[in-house]
Amino acid sequence: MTAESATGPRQDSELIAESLSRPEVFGELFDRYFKVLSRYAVRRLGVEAAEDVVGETFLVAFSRRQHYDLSYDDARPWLFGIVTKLIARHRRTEAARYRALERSPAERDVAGPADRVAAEVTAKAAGSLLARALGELARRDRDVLLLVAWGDLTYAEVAQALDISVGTVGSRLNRARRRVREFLGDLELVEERHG
Amino acid sequence: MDELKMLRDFGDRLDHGPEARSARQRRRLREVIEQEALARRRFGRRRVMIAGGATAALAAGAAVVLVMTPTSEIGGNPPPAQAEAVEVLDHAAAATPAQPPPRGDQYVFLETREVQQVTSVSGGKVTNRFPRSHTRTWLSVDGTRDGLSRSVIGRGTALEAWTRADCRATKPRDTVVHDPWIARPPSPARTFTQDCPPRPAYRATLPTDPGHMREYLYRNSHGNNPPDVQAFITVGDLLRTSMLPSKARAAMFKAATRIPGIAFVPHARDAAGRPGVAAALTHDGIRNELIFDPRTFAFLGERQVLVAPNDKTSLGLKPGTVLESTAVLRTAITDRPGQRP
Repeated sequence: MTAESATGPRQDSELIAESLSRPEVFGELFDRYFKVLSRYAVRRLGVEAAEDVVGETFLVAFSRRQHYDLSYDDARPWLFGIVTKLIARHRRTEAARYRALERSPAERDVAGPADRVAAEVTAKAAGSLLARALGELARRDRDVLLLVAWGDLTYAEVAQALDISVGTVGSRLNRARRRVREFLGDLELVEERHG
Repeated sequence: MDELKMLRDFGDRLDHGPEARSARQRRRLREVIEQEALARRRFGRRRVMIAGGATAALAAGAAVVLVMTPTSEIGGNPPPAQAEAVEVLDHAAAATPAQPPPRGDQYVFLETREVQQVTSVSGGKVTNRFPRSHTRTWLSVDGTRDGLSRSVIGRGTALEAWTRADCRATKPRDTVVHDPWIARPPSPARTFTQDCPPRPAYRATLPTDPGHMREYLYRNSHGNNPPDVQAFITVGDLLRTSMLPSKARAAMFKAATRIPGIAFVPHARDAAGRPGVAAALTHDGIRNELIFDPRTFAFLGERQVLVAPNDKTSLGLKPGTVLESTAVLRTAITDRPGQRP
């Protein structure tokens, strides 16, 4: 039995290792990461589908924990990889999510000074175009893009999460950014009209 | 234009909506964790391991065999056994019915109920739960055939496990969890092969003489408790996981009367809620009870009660709490695994 360390919270890898013989310890990983995984999943799927998907992520992680590479202290990439793969099974929910965001992205009160209105209009327009762009991306490119933009993972972490090379991360990210830029090209017209 | 920054800002705005709630998802995880903790405990507590079970697969290394010496031979003055406790065990020895021995190709059927104590720690908060299970187990009489265990745990989760007679454990076959929450079955795991002799569930070769049986109990008790306590626990293990010929069973109860420090408990209950009297041995603040029917002295089950502060108290468990309990509802012989007697 591992003695509790007096020097602060334990590494994820230590928790996972201990959970192999004391499964109840795995709950600590849920408490550490539910929120951050939810933020990512809610953005992609909306809150209802996201709750179940994040819950499922921890069930899958628990059932696969004996395969976790304990040389990685930080379990975040592993967990983000699982949730991303589960999101891939909710293709239609994600597509519907982006379509809905296209129509009314994060509505906010736009009454106010002209420059604020302009900024709001631009933000709304940008959101709408971004939502459309995300819906149009190839799934693999979108996964990499959003793990970076919404998951805050580094290239190396994305590579670990998706079990691909760092080079592949780079090329998918570049392709995704190019496509998004194409969609946002229309935005300059909006800025000109209101700026 | 930095499209990554714009995406990040877009994402931040999306966060202004309703947040995901964790309570239900936390519960889903807890149930799955408890199922596994229960499966482990069934197959590998500090008590008996059924060969090939999930925990046997996970434990690496060879089993260490310790030869236990009864405490009274080492020295010190353990308290004398209470007369009433001896009486209970004597009655139990007299109450064992004679049965014809089964055939080697048949199965020992055991139906049990269990209540376990599971502690989970999250965010510094300690929660104690007491999941209940109802199990039917079929074990090969001569130990050469695969056995089967079926449990219903908690709110109706069914667990089925095969115990391999040749001691190989393959996880997907050993634990098949029928639970709607798990989208796909556990991924295939490594296969472990262990050297182990067949474990007959009908213990035809156990001593029938109390003196030799006492030696057997001490020699074959493994665990972290002192020898007397471990031998006492072994009595419960044998009754819960095997069938003893009636003479050996009687010898076992007689042998237990000679464990120093056993005490009488007038009011006890097994995991099925059946009231009984018990012979008990207390160690490190935990009272281990063997419970018997107050009229017939048939063996009912076991119980562990926290009676004094110990390291369990730091988990928020108070003295008086029943930690774990078992109930042996039925033992019988069947021709096939899965067949109800």
